[in-house]
Amino acid sequence: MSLIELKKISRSYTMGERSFYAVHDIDLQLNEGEFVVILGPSGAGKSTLLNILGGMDSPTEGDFLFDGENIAKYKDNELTDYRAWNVGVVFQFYNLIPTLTAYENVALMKDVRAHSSKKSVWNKGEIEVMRPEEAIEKVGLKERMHHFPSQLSGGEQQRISIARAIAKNPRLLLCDEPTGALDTNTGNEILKLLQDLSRKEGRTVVMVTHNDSFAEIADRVIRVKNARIESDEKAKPLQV
Amino acid sequence: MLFRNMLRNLWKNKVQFFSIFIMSFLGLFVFVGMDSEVAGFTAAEDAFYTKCALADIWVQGKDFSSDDVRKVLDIEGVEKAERRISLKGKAVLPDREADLYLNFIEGNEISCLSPVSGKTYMPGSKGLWLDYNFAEKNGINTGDSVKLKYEGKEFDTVLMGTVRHPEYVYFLQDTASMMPDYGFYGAAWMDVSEYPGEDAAFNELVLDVYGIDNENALSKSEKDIKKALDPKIKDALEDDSLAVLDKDDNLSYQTFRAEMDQHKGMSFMFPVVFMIISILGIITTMTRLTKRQRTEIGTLKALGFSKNVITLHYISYGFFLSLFGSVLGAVAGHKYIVDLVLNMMKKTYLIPGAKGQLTSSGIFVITASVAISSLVSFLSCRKELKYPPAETLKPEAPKLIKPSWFEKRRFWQSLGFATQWNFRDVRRNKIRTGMGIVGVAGCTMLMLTAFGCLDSIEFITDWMYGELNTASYQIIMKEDATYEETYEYARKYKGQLLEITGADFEAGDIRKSGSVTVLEKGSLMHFQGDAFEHQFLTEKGIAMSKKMAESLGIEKGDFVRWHLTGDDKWQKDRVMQIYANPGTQGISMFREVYEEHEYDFEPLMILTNVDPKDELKDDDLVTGVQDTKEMMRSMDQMKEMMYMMMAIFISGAVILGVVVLYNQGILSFVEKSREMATLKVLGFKTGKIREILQFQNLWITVAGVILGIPFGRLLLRGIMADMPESMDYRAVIFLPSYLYAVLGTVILSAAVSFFLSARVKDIDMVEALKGIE
Repeated sequence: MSLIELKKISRSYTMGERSFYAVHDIDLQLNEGEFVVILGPSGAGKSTLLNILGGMDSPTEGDFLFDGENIAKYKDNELTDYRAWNVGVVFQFYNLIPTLTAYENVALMKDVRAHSSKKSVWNKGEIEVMRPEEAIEKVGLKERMHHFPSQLSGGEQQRISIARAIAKNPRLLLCDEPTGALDTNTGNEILKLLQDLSRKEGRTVVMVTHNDSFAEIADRVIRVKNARIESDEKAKPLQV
Repeated sequence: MLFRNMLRNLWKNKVQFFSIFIMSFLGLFVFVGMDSEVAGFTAAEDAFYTKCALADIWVQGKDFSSDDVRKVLDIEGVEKAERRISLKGKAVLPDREADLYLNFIEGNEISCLSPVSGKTYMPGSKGLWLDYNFAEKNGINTGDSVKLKYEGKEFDTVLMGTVRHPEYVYFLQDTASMMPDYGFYGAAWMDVSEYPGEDAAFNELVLDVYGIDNENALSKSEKDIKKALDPKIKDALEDDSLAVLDKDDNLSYQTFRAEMDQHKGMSFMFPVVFMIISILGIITTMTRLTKRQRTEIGTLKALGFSKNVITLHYISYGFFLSLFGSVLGAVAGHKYIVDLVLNMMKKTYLIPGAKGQLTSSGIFVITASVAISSLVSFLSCRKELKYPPAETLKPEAPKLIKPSWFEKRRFWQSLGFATQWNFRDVRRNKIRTGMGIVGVAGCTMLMLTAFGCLDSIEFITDWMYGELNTASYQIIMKEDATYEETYEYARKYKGQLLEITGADFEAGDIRKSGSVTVLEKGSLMHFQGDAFEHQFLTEKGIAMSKKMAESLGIEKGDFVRWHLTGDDKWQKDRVMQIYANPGTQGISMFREVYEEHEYDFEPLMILTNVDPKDELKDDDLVTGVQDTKEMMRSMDQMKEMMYMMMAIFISGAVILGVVVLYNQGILSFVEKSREMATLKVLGFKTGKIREILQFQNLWITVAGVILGIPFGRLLLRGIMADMPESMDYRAVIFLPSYLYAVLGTVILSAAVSFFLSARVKDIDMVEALKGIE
C-alpha cells in the first residue's frame, strides 16, 4: 500500500470575485522510502501541493489518504496532530526561531510531541523523538549546536533546520526549495544530506524545487504546470 | 523551549515590555499600599472603638438627672447609659492659655479612657487625665500640677495620667477651625466629683445599645435601631427638643470614615489609569511582536504545534509580565506606601496600633490585572493565529490604505514634508499614537491634580479667612455674659456680633446635625453663592449652606424643619437662599429673623479687626481671643499632607510620561528606521530627520495635554467631593498651576523626544536597508 494517495485533489482560492485553482484534479501515489522531487516554474502549484501533503493547508476537493486515513476533511486540531506525528518540514529560509539556539530549535520537537494529543490515531507508540544531540550529529553540526541562528552560516542553519525536521522521526520529510537561499556548493551538501536520509534511513522525502538539475538525484520526478501534474517519471538517480 | 523563547523575546523587546511591567507594578503599588492602609487603619479603628466601647448614641439638650438615666435604661434595647458634663475650658500654661475640652465623667464603661501613661481612671478617682498629645507637646508630666479655668473659675488639679479617647480620634479647636493642630488645644477628663462648684449640670448622656457594634460603618439596621430609639428616649425623658445623635453625627467618627472612603476611591483610580496605559502597551507591543513573528508562528504551526499552544505562548507574555508586575507592586506597596501614608495619617487621626493589612481586594485587583492583560494579549495576537500555516508562512499582503479626506484637499499639497509624513504615520499607527496621547494626558492629569490639591487648600484658607470672615480676631465671651455686656465689647472694638448654636435639621426622612449662625448686620462676615459670587444675606428668612442643603436634598424655596439643641420647639422655614461655606454647615440668618422665631439673640462671639489681645487677656467676661493667623496655621498640617500627595502624583506623572513616551518613541523609531535610513540615503541631514520625529512628538504632546487638563480637573473634583460632609471643599486650580502642569509635561516630553531622536545619527544606512531581507 502507498504511504500517500491523492485522489482528484484540488485547491481553489477566491480573490475578489475571481476564483482560481492552485492545484487541480491531482491524482498521485507516493511510496514509503521514496525520494521524490516536484519540479515546476513559479506559480505552477508545487508549493500548494507541498502544503497539502504537509497538512499545512487543506484541499477544497478530493481525498488525501495518508497510511489509509483520509485527512482531506480533517479539522484544524486533527491536522496539527497529523503534522506533529508524521511530517518534518525543511524551509527555503530555514525558519529557525532566532531567539533559540541550534540545540533548542531541535529540542523544540520534544515540546511538539509533548503537546500533541496522545489519543491521536497517529500515536502508534513506536515513534520516539530523537535526542537533539543525535539529530544534530546526523547533520554534522555537533560542535556548533549551542550557537544562535544568527551565529551560523546559511548552510549551517539549513542543516539545523533538517535536524529539527528529522528529530521527531517523521514518516514524511517535506523540503521546500531547501537550497534556494544557498550557494551551489553548500546546496549540494544539503542535497547529499537529504539523499542520505532517504537512502540510508529509508525516509520518504518530497522536495519542491524549480531547479531542473535536481531531477537527477531523485527516485521519482513529478513535473507540475498550470496546477496539474504534467509528468510523473521514475528516475535513476545519481549520487550527489 | 517556548518558555525560553518567550524570555529571550522579552529581553529583546525589553523597553516595550518593561513599560507593561512597570504599569502593572505602579497600579498595584499604589492600590495595595492605600488599600492596606485603609484596611489596617479601619481594623485598628474597629479594635480601638470596641476596646473603648465607643458610645452608640449621644443625647444632648438638658440637665440629665440620675432618674433620667434610669428611665433611659428602662427602654428596651438600651444596654448601658452614663451621664457626663462636657464643657469648653482652658488650661493655664506658663506661656498661654490653651483651649481644653473638659469632660466630667461618672463612669468609664461607655466611650472609656484608653490609658497611655500614668494611672488608670476609676470612677471616683481624684485628679486629671489629659489627652497624650496635649500633655506631651506642652511638657506636662504625670504628677504635675495643672491649673484649669472654666467660666471664670480657676482650679488646680494634678495630672494622673495621659489617655486616648474614642470620641477624640479627630477633633478641632472650634467650629471655625478646619484642621486639627493637636497639642495647641486638647481634651481632659476628670471624675464628676472634681467639678468645681455646686452647679454641675450633666449636659450629655451617652448610651450603649444592643445591636450596634463598633465594627465597620453603621449598617442600615443599626441606623434603624437609632431611628426607633429616638422617639422612645424623648418620650421617656418627656422632652421633644433633645438631640439624639448617632455615630454618623459624630465629627470624629464621621471624618475618619470619610477620609477612609476618600482613600479607597483614590486607591482604585491608580490601577485604572495604569491599566489603561498597560492595555495600550500590550496591544501595541503584542500586535507588533506577532506581526514580526508571523513566519515564526507559521513555522511553529508547520512543525506541529497546535493553535492553542501557540496562543498560550503569546498570552503568557501579558500574563507573566502583569503577574510579576502586579505581585511585586503589591509587595512593594504593602511595604513602602502603607507606612508612608499611615505615618502621615496618624498625625491627624489618633488611633493606636494601626498597621498595614492585606485584603482580598489586592488579590482581586491582581487577578483582574492579569486576566485583562492576558485577554488583551490574546486579542492582539489572534489575527496572526487564525490562518492555516500555509497562509501564515507567506508574508502579509500590504494593507490597502486609501487617502484620507485631508489628503484629497488642495491645502494638503501646501503642507510641508514633515507634516505630511507625520500625518500619515499617525494615521497608520493609531493605537501607538493613542497610547502616546493617553500617556501624556495621564501625565498632565496627575501633575494638574497635584498642583490643584495645593491650590485648593490655599483657596479654602483664603476663602474662609480672606473673603467670608474678614475679621482678624474673634472675641469669645463667657457663657454667662449678658447681651448688653457683649454689645459693649462689640461697640468698643468695632466688632460684629455672632451667635453659633448647635441644631438639628430635618427634610423628609433625612435628619442632619449642624449649626445655626445668627448675626447682627456688620461688615466682617460675608456670604457667597455656589460660584463665589457675593451675596447679601437675606433679610426675609433663613439661608442654608450648600453642603447641608445637598445632604438634606433641599433646594432654594423648599421648607426645612429645624430646632436648636436644648430647645423643644421645632421651626419650619422656607430656605430663601443657598450660600457656600467651607467649614460650618447649617443655616444662617440675621438677628431680626431669629428674634421673629421668638428666640433671644445671645451672641458669644465678636468678630473684630482691632487687636484686643492684650487688653482682654485677663478679662472676666472673655473666654479668649482667637487670632485668625493662628487658625490659618492649622491648615499647615493639611498642606503637609497635600505635599505628600503631590509628591506621589508628580512621581506617578513623571514615571508614566517617561515610560509611555519612551516606549512609544522606541516603537515608532524601530518601525521607521528603514524610512529614516532611506531619507538619510536620499540626502536628508540628521538634524532634519530629528526635527521630523520631534514634530510628531509635539503633536502627541499637545493632544495629550489638551486631553489631560479636563481629566485633571475631574480627578481633583473627585478628590474634593470625597471630603467629609461637614466640609465644602472646592476643586480649584490657579492659572500658574495649569502652566506648571503643561510646562512639566512639555519639558518631560521634549527631553524624552530629544533623547530618542538622538539615535537618528546612529542609524547605519547600509544595515537598515539590508534589513528587509
